[in-house]
Amino acid sequence: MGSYIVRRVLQMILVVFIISMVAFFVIQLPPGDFVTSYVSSIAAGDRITQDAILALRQQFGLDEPLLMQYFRWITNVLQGNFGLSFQLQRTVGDLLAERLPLTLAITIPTTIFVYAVAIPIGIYSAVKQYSVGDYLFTFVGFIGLAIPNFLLGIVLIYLSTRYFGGNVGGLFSPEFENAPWSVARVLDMSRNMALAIIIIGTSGTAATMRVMRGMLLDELSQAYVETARAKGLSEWRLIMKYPVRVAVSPVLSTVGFTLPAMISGTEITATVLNLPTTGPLLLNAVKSQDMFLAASIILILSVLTVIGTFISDLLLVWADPRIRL
Amino acid sequence: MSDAILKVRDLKKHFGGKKPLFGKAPRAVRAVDGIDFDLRRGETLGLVGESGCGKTTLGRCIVRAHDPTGGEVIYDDPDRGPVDLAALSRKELQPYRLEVQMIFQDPIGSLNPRMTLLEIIGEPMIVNGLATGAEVKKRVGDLLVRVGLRREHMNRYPHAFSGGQRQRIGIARALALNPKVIVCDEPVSALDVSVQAQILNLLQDLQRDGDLTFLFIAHDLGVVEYVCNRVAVMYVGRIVELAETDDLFARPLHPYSEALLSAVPVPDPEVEGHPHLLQGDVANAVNLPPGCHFHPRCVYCVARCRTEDPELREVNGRKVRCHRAEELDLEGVAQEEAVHG
Amino acid sequence: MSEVRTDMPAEELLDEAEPRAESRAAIASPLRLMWWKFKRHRVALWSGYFLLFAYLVMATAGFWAPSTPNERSRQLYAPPQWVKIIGPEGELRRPFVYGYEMTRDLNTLRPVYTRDESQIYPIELFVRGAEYKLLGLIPWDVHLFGVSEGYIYLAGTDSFGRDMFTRLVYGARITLSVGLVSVMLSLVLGLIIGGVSGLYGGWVDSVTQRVIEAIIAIPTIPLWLGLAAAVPRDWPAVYQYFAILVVLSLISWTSTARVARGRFLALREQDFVTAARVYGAGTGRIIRKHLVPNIMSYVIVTITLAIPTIIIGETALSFLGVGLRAPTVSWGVLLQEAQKIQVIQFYPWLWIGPALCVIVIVLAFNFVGDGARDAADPFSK
Ligand SMILES: Nc1ncnc2c1ncn2[C@@H]1O[C@H](COP(=O)(O)OP(=O)(O)O)[C@@H](O)[C@H]1O
Ligand code: SF4
Ligand SMILES: [Mg+2]
Repeated sequence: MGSYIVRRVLQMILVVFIISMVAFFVIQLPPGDFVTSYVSSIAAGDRITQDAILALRQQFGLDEPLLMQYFRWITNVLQGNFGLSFQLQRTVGDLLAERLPLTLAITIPTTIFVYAVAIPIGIYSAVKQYSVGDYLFTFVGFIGLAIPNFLLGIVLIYLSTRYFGGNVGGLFSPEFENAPWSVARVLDMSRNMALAIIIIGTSGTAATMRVMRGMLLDELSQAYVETARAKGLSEWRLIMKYPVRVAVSPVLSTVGFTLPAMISGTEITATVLNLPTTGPLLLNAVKSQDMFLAASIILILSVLTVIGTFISDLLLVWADPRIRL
Repeated sequence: MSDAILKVRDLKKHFGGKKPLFGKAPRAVRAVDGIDFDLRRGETLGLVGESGCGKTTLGRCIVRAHDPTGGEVIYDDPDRGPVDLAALSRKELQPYRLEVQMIFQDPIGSLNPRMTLLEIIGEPMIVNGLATGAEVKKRVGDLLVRVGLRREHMNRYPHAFSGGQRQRIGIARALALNPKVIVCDEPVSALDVSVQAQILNLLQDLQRDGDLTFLFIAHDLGVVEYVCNRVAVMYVGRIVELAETDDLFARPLHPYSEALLSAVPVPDPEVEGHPHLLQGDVANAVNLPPGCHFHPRCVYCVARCRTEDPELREVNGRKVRCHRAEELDLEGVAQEEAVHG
Repeated sequence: MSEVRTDMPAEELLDEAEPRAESRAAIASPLRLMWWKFKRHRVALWSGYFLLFAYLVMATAGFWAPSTPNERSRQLYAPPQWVKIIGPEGELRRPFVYGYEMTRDLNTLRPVYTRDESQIYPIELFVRGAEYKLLGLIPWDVHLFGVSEGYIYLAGTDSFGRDMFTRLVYGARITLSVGLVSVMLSLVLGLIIGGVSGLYGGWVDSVTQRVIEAIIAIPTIPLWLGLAAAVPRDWPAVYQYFAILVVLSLISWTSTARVARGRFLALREQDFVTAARVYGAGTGRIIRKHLVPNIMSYVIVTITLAIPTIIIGETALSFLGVGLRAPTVSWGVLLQEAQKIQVIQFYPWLWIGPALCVIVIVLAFNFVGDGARDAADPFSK
């Protein structure tokens, strides 16, 4: 176990390093450098002197070779200094501290929701293969997979404004927007968040449910199941006792793919539902080529994904020692 | 009849053991660890041992599917004189590819499912520039007939054939280059017993007609008795006994050979089988026991065996690797008469 | 379960060398076996036909659309017309649409359309209309359907009075081709990178694996956003189109690479590859003749399942306003309208149309991919 953890940590560091290069690449990608885009973004209002531009360039080391720039940036990031958002004139660190918690508060429950819903349905579908229920879930699953979550968000907004006269979007309904904290306000927030979780979780649930069904079907076709059945074990106990346990491990280990998908889903759905996560912030940053902010968000989200996957892997190995590789 | 077409000298193949980026180097798997024998022109030399003792690896080193870690494989080419195949570069090796070919164990994995028989059997000729166009077709057809299939089969894919038939296809592919030596890696182990005899007969017929020399790998002695002139018994990467088939069966000199013989099914159900002498698992090729590698499983083991590694020695004109070869009186099996010439 | 038995039967002693049952399966190529297996998957088969049709429509958009995508009209925000065959007096007619009468809601000033039963526009087939270029080459002016007087808006109109049906058909051209071309690009990238990684192993493989892990760990939408942001806004539409193609495939190659690598690793150890090496086939030949043909079926499955992801990617990016932009017409660009809450609420046809198109296409690709996955290994049960 110890050497496994050490190896995984080393791999993780390498992966995070590569991610940081990708993020830096994103910063570098737009033509010109960000001082140019900074200047053009404020040129409308204040005038900026040539000296100031030069000073800015020097401050961020833009005259230096790329490798040095990366080095400078990553040292700053490691010290918690993510740079400045030009557009918002605030430190990126502040903005992240403000927005990130909500992103996590949506992503983590959504991930749990996905597995909690998908695994039982997958088990049911496999055990009752070709039953009406199985077909129904399969059908719903395919539809769920095919609807991008931002579209689902739009549909929901439409239905609620059209037929329920309700108001979807935002973390709070208008009447609670500026109200002080109260039980009703918390309930209102939970309602809006639950909506987001369902929208974001749908496609993940659909996919995971298919995987669970397939894995369990494979497992159920193994000879030992027949043997156990011959011994007269009751059907459900038999299925839950071994096949389900075997099938669940690989399904849970898909979290490495699910987690980034959840975060993606959160960010795009948040822009539709107008939730104050990092999503709308990122979109704005991207539109105004506020590249430090954009890259920092990408970096942080990815690193969180890597860490999340790592933790879940450890839990899996801890729960099922056969997995070790 | 007794001049050597292939001399294997101190052949070694170790897997792994390279130091990774982090951590210490793992210990190498010593799959083949110092093998010596001569393959005589026109004979069939059996190579037996339990699964995992390095037979396939040895075979692959000889055909240079693996690059050996050390040692020599000297091929005595009638025209070009002796040459060490193990020392040649890939490019220098190319002309000798024609001389030494291989037949594989797995009838499914050894044929490319996306190629027709024509492509499978014809490719060796095309690659080596032996034939082109219509000539390939003609030769492939002839080969198919030679191995007991039909010319019309050449446009089919392997999935249309049974295990035995696939093995015939594999044999035809090996024959495509007109080799002098063929390494047969357990060619019948994966087949039904009823089909095994047919493939063995085919191999014998081919040998008779075609001036071929076989290194015949098997994991049990039953098949070997049927086809081989001599037998080399292998245990974790080394030869422990080498003898004429009849001699070995009549009176093995190495306890491991005796143990393998005890597992040969007895043809006459009236006769009571030997007690199964082999217990435990094959020694680990990474972490070999000290002294005689077989000692943890040997029923004749004495103190000396635990510390001193026996050499491969001549005893009564046979080769054996055991301290007690002279003193032990080991049991063979009663041989059936006139199985082979 | 299968009608095509490819496993090994117990062999008969007597005629072991005789060919097995002379069934169709015995002579069929593996590709054909795959096709037979795929065909048994009804839903997948019909989805496949549907996709072929969709791509045909895409290639010949001008013919299927009654108008051209940027043709404006005076009917702004008109809802879809229904095709009728029963006339105002209950009589049977050839298919027609009613004209509109427009009034304005005096409170909101939104246009309100009601059916004008005095205006009947019969639908005609193969009518002459606006000129377009068939397959982008041949100038032509025949449209599958249209009206010779009045107007026909089967999917409504937008804020400029442009026909949504036409715009959907033309949008397919961009969205579907982005999916296909991006996937081809990522296929090439994935095959090369995965192949090199699987074939050479060692540190090349380790580094490639870590890079792939890193890219998979980065949430796709944010990364796409970041990369798309770099595409200059003032680039001409064609450049933008290609830039978005590249952005989308820069991420999706990883799945192909993983599949290719895994298959290469497994195949490398197969005896038929060893055999090829033993008879002297060179590396290039082994890759071409023995490895690539044997991974193609898996690769086809991977890309069939990757296309919908790319299509959703294009749609999402354009919807968010960082992908393709007007005047380019793609389903994602059309969906941009749904950024406005009034449009979502009062002119739902503006987003339901493109949304349905996306969903149906993605669904079809998923069905085909599912069927292809089952058929990919023709030698399995
Ligand atoms: N490519 C390889 N890499 C590492 N170890 C191998 C490789 N091929 C074989 N081995 C190891 O070498 C030993 C001998 O294997 P093999 O030659 O296949 O035995 P046999 O053919 O007698 O069953 C086994 O312990 C096996 O695990
Ligand atoms: S040397 Fe000793 S242990 Fe080894 S085989 Fe002979 S008797 Fe057995
Ligand atoms: Mg073997």
